Amino acid sequence: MITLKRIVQVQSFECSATVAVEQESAAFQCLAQLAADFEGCITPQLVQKELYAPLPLHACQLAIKRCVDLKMFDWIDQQQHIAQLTDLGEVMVKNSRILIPQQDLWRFYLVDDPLVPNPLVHLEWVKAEPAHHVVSKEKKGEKISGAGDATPALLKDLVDGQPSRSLADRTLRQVRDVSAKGKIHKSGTLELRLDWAPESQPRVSLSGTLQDTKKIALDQAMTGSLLPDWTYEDLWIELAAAASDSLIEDIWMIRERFGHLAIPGWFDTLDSQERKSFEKTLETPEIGLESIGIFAPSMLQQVSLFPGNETEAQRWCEWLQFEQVTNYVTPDQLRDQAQKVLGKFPFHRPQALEPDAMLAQALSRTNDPAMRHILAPADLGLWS
Amino acid sequence: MAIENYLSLPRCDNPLRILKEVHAQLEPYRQYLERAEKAFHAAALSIGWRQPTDDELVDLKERRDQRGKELSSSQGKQRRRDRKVTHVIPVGHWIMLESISSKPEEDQVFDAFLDAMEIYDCPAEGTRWPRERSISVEDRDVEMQAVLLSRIPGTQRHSTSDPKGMEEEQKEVNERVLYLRPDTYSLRRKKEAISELKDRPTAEREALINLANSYAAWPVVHPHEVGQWVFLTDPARSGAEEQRDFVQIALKSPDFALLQGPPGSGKTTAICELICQLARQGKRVLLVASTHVAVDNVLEKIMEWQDVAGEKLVMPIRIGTDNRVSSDAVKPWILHRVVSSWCEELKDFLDNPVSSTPRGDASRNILHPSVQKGADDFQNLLLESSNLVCGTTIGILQHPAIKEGQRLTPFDVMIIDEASKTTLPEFLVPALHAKRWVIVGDRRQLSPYVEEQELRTNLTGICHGTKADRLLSAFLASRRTPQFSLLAVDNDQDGKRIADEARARELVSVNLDNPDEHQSIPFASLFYGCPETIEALQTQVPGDLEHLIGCEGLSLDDWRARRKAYLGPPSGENQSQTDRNNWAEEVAWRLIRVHELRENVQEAEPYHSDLAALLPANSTERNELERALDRLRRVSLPSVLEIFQHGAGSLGWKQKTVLTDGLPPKTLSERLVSLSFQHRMHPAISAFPRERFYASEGLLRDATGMEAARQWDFPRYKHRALWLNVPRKSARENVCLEEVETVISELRYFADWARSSGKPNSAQDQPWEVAILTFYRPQERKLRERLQRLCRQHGRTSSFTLGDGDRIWVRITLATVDRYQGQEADLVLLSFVKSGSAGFLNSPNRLNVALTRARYQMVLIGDRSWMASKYCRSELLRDLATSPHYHHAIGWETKR
Repeated sequence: MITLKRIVQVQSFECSATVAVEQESAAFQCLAQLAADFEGCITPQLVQKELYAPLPLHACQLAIKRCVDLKMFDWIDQQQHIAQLTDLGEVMVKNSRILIPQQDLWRFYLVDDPLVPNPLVHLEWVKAEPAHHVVSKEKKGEKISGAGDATPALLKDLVDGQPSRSLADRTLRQVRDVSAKGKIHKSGTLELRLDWAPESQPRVSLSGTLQDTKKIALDQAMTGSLLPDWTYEDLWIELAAAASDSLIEDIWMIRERFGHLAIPGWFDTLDSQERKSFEKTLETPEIGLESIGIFAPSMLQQVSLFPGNETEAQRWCEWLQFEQVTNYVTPDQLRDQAQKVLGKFPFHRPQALEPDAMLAQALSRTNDPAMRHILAPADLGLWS
Repeated sequence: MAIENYLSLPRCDNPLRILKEVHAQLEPYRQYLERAEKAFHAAALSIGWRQPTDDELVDLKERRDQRGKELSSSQGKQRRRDRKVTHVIPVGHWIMLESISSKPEEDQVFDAFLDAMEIYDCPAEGTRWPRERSISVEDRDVEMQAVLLSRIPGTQRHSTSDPKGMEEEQKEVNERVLYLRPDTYSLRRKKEAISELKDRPTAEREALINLANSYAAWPVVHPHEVGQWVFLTDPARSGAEEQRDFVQIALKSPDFALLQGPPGSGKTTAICELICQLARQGKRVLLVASTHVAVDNVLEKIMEWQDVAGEKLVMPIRIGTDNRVSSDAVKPWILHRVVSSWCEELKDFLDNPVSSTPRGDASRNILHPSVQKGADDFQNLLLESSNLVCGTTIGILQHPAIKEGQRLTPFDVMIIDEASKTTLPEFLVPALHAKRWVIVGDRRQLSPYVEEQELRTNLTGICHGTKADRLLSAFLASRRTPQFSLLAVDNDQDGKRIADEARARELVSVNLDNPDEHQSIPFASLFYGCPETIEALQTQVPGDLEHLIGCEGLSLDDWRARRKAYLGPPSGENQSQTDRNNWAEEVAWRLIRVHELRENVQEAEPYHSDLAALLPANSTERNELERALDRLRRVSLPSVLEIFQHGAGSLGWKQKTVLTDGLPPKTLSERLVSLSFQHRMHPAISAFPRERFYASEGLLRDATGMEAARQWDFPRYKHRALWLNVPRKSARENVCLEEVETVISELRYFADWARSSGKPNSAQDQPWEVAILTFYRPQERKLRERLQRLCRQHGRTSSFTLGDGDRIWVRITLATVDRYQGQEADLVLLSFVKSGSAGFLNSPNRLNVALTRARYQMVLIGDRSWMASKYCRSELLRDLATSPHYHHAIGWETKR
């Protein structure tokens, strides 16, 4: 499981704009649904026949015209009032909502991050400060800037793009038009978190509070093909290599040869727990990853360890044999335990110590209290 | 910040400057409306009532049954039994509204009560309206000025056992007065519209913002070539080219287009053409006008054309109530009727979707629950889909989205008719919901109605207390017939100001606190002093003082006794300060009159002089107050049409904007079309108005063939524009019984002839239309009584018929001139009433409206000899009375 985090800047920008906002209106939704059910094509006659029978044909024509204005339909033949469902209309059908444009003063919260598919994380309607406040502030000597800031390209690029949901209140909306100028508002930050479990899609979430008078808590996840240039293995290896002294090629080789993700383990650098579990937690440094940006230092949990070579494996194996001895043992029992230890080295061929060799080592380490589990039974003649 | 919105304006180079300019020019409108709203709260409307007579009750029932039938017939085919709507007949008690005897009511008061949903049978206690005294209005009959109430006023059991309360209640019931809780909705909407524009100027509203922007750039208009005309098919018809020009400009103008047209010049036709052309372009139109008739004339004409042509360009939605909509042809298109009839049929269809296919099931399943739940969503679909939504400037506020303060998808074009009667805030309420604006009217017709109370309250805001008292007393004392005043002052400073004011006007004033000045008492016109001194010296001040100002609560019994011996009770006696004439009141009505007489400079002069005399003599104070008055005048009086053409005045600013100076000449000429031919009146009827009101612009020319088109064989009159001289004998104010008798007598002649003479050409089966007009409501009441008797229609108030069984040969409309703007009739009988003073007849705009309503025959009835004499101080009326265009002679045929 990979978990990466970073702090992202939220740029907030206030300007006059036309934003189509979702609204529930069965009277219009049913027209979109009708078109969807008739291969996307709609005519006044169809509307009258299937839905609005009491309305005169002329009223049905005008209803279709209104839907064209709402970008739900496109004209196929305007003269005959024949229209077809647009992509946006399909979104409306899918979401059971229609999008009604509203020209107003809006505050856009934008995040420019390669992992955030739609930079517009949220927007809200802003109640304009009355003009007389501006005038009285100026009279009091407060400096009022009338120059304005150019609308960010990020926002301009959203015009007539795919509708998206706010990460704060989940409302569906589409930016239809933005003015050329507005005002940059206070900026804030959010925490971006990338969670990626093996065999699953990456999950990116943003959390925190949008800086404004109204605190907006965000904790929304985005899934889907967010990292098209990366596989889980790529990222894992990149992170593991950066967090350890291992070479990417070595880890790749382990992955290629033995079919699983692990880093080379060097017996002397590992603590007893890591030697026993064949796993360690890696501390990844701040890292810049191609096309997905820079992440803060993080942890790569449960990284599999793979003995660096046969010698390492031999030492590791012998060490594990003694670690297995936790009670009084006979040679037969030691042989059984040796088999289990050897099973932990499927890709190496260490030689397990024979019981006599272990007894000889125990006799040379009499100060080690653990050795008594071997020495005591031998002294008592249980080994003969 | 509001500045962000200004940044969005596409052609805005300096948002802060524009914001400041817009704020400076629109804020006075907002402030005016805010004060007006307060005034509204302070002045609840009241009206008298009585029980209907048995005849009236029968009429009311018949008329209600008739309305029920109309509603049923507009609902199309029979629906399933279980869903068939049975019209709920409201139950209650009919009462007739009438003027309180001491206080003749204005039309607006009747209108307000007839529109109300709830009224009270007692006034507010402070600002609290007692719930238990409210009565709901279940139904109304506008024509009969009757309302159906849930209970009879005064029958509510009183909750208190206090005998005094019971006594007061009994008194109220005996007085038979109803009260209306002030409805400030329209004022609030106007105020909000001003703020909305000022604080939230979107790109779509840039043109509206530019009205207050001194650097506004107005794009050139390139007229749109129309391929196929709908109404203006004959280019040879007089004025058709002008009408076409207007339509082509309005179709292409990126902001405003203006149409100025005298009476009968085809403004309505041009509007209809424009609407149809816009509909062809797929545009949505919002049509508003200050009167229902103006809106309905357009709708009626379009619907008639659609029926004949078989082409459906327009699907209208009329915002309004059944009672207010003037045309039967338009009633089926009233929003609630359209929604209720179609929605019920839709329910039936969705329950049993015959002729539909299973593929449509999913969409019907979306619609069905929504329709079952209510009609709101369906109503929204109709409103959004309709390409012509229309109503009056006030009525349009009942549009569901506007009412709930929602933002509407803006209409492509808003057309406002009768813009001469519409103020800027009234215009802005609907205008904020459109992207382009077409303004139609005639600035030589009636101006916006101004609520004097609103103006008074605003004036009180700029000058009140001792300052207002000082100015009023100095003004009264310096008039040609001086009126003397006694003022109680609280401090020496106020006393000094009064003395200074008097000195500057060369008046003699006496400070009663200063014994040295007492010798001037016999020569003085202004007396002042502290309350104690006034009480002490009450026997020394003259007994013929007209006004006691600030003397409430003083014990002046000795003086009163002396005063009574001189002149009877003084005018200020027993009246509270607020009831008595005050400075604001004196200024308010004069400001309105000056505005009414703006085209009659000479007759406006005395009012200008009075207004100047109501200002302080001190130049600094005077300039300041003068500016404040001018600010009030410009925000309360000019119409939006005048603003576009000439502006509302500069207030001393160097920068010119549309609000101050009108559209720049070149911009205006590109957007304004004047219609110069009239198609309504016989040439003899249009002659005087043309010469007197439209000569400078060369308008109101007679269309070719008008004389032939207005041929008839009514033998009574030798001339088409006639004056029946009726010297006034009765002395009642604003009533002339002799004129009433003349009107009725002329009507009888006409009815006798009309019985056997049909209208010419295509209108043969239509009855003749007669309008009986007068300038005054008391005269209108007298005329109504006589018409009720003559027509045997006792429940009617403004529309009467003369006929026989099923056949009607004359349809009569009785109205005040102000109310009749926008309408026309074959024969107009105009009763002047006035003799001895011009009253408000000398307003050129009002007189113009009065004289331009008749198609075939105009009969002026009034004291011509007085009006033509030197005793009539109005040059305009003298001109009218001595005009050779109005003849004395009645046709010799009838005398034979």
